[in-house]
Amino acid sequence: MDKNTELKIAQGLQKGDRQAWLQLYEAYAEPVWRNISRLVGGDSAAVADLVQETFLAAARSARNFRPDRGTLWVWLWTIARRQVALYYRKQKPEIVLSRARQWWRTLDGEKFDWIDAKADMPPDILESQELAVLVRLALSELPGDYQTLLLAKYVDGQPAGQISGQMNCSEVAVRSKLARARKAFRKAFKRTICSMPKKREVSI
Amino acid sequence: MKAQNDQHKDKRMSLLLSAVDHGANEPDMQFLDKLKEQSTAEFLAFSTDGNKQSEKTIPISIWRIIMKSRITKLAAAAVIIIIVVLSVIVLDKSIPSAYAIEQTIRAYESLRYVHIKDFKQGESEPLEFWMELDKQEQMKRFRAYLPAWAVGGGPLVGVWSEGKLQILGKNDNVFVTKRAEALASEILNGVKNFDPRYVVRGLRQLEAEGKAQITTSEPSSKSDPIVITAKYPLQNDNTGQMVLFVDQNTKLVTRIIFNKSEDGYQHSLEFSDYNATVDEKVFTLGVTLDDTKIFMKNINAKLATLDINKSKVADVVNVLGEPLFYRFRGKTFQKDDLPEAYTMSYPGGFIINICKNQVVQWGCQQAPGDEIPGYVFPDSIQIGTPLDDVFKKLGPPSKVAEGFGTKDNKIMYEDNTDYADMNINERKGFCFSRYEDNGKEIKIYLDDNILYKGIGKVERLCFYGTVCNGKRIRFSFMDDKVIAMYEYRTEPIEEIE
Repeated sequence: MDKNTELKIAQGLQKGDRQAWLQLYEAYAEPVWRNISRLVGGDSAAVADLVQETFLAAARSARNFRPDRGTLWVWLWTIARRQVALYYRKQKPEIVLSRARQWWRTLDGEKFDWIDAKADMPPDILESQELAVLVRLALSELPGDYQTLLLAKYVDGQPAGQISGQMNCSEVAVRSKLARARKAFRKAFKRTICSMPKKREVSI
Repeated sequence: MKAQNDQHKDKRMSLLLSAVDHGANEPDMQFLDKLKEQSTAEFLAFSTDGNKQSEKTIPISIWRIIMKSRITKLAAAAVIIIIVVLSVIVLDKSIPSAYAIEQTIRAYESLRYVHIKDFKQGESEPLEFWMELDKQEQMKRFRAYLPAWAVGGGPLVGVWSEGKLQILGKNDNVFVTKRAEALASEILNGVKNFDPRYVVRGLRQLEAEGKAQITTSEPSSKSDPIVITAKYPLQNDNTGQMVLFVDQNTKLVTRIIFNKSEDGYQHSLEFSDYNATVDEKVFTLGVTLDDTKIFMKNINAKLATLDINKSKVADVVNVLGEPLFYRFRGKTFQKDDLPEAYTMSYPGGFIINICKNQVVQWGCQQAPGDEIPGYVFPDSIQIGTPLDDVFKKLGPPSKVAEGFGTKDNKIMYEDNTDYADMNINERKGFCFSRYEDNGKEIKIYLDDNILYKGIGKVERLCFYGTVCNGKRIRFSFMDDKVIAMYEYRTEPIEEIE
């Protein structure tokens, strides 16, 4: 979406313009579905619920959208990401995750080199459901802009120029942020397979 | 060469990340079309200028949920359904359309059960309320779920049945059940304050004064709801706006959106499961006050049969029975899928921390005023015992530290070892808390025999740990009374592969 269209939609949303909302919806409903589906897997009912929650929450707060704080997509995906995080908290995916971790432990090979993209991962592993679970969990832990970048670049195959438009930043910034996103993903993936604690806690 | 290497890395990254496409679904266009209408209605409802149609004067002054205390919050939950009924009554005389509000009133006459969700702006988890009415339309039972944002701290569940209210607070280490007649009475009084007969009189007065306006939209498609928008004066002199969605088939209100309420936030109420078959479990907590008292009464005798340094989980279950929950860091686990470290939660706030199938500590925490006696250590200190009495029994502390919380007072250490606060191997003292600072995990350890006052920057909270009769114990005090007491193992945890 070009900057002018984006700005017009933003202004329309602030005024409560129906057409602006429809434009936003038409542009992003499918991408939001796709990305949510990637993060939560094949449960289409769950995906539909999350997409619905995302757009209803967006509809409630659309009037307060501030274009100076980020693009429409970034705003929308921030809402979606929150819904996905909530989904994972409620779903308690420990059993599935535990199986996936166990599967990972049984694998032979330079596993950390695979994660660091220093060696090729065997095709049968790339095709496995367990890997999908681990990648999803790791991705779901990342900030929304990292998720957007990684999915756009490596799953949708978008060039940096196109992503920079979506994120409202320069190509150089996209590349730089991508490097940080990759690093964060690898760290999250390693944490996912090792089950390292992350949450803060206070006890008395 | 570098560019080629980068290309390889990119390809590998792409292959790895594309794993998320396995099993992912293509967009359901039928669903998205439906959602387009729904979200557009939502967008317009939340936009003050949207949905302009014929206006009629009608009085509505309703939203009073100013959530400041737990009591108000529970009471607020109890009045939501009254608000719905009220809305219907108020709108009755003022909507000249094919839709007759009497139909809704009649539909509500047979109301026996409803599930309500209150979504507050900016909060992802709704406040929930389940209500069962008797044939005289009087409250028979209700259940309220108040998420953490509504109560501060952990979430709260309240169940009101047969004139009694029971509350369950759930945290990693808190489980309190109490009888709360006073609270129940306040809630019921709160409901009385929203008695339709009383409020309708006030509304009639407002109607006469012409202080509210409504618009209504009745779509031709029976699958779309009737949308009623009302603007009304608020107590703070602002104008509030609410939108009701009425199911055309059942004539029952399915949603109400408060664009501007007196608490300054937007609220969206959703009503579902109208007159559904009641699941008895909804109106029970899973544990009664009597269960809790019996458990706590026998706890010392049972613990005396366990050795804290040698007991395994099976020994604990054998003596105390199955816990109510297996929990750790806010998550509940199933017995057959437990992590390495977790908490076994029993009635009365009694917990046992487990690591590598071994007991790390046991004890309990109870909220002031909710004490259920039973757990005593070493022979006279219990929840509620004054701080002075504790030191009379144990001897005075070697030192008093006040207002800790920085590195300067030398009780904060950086540590990258795991086991969280359950780490007693190579311990530097008791790990009171942990948090992240710029990506680095910081743990706060407390030494034995020092009375820490104002701990964690909470002025009224104190902490003291010591060794007594060869047993390692620690206490937390609030307002100079014991609110938590735990015994923990003296021997290192055995490493098990």
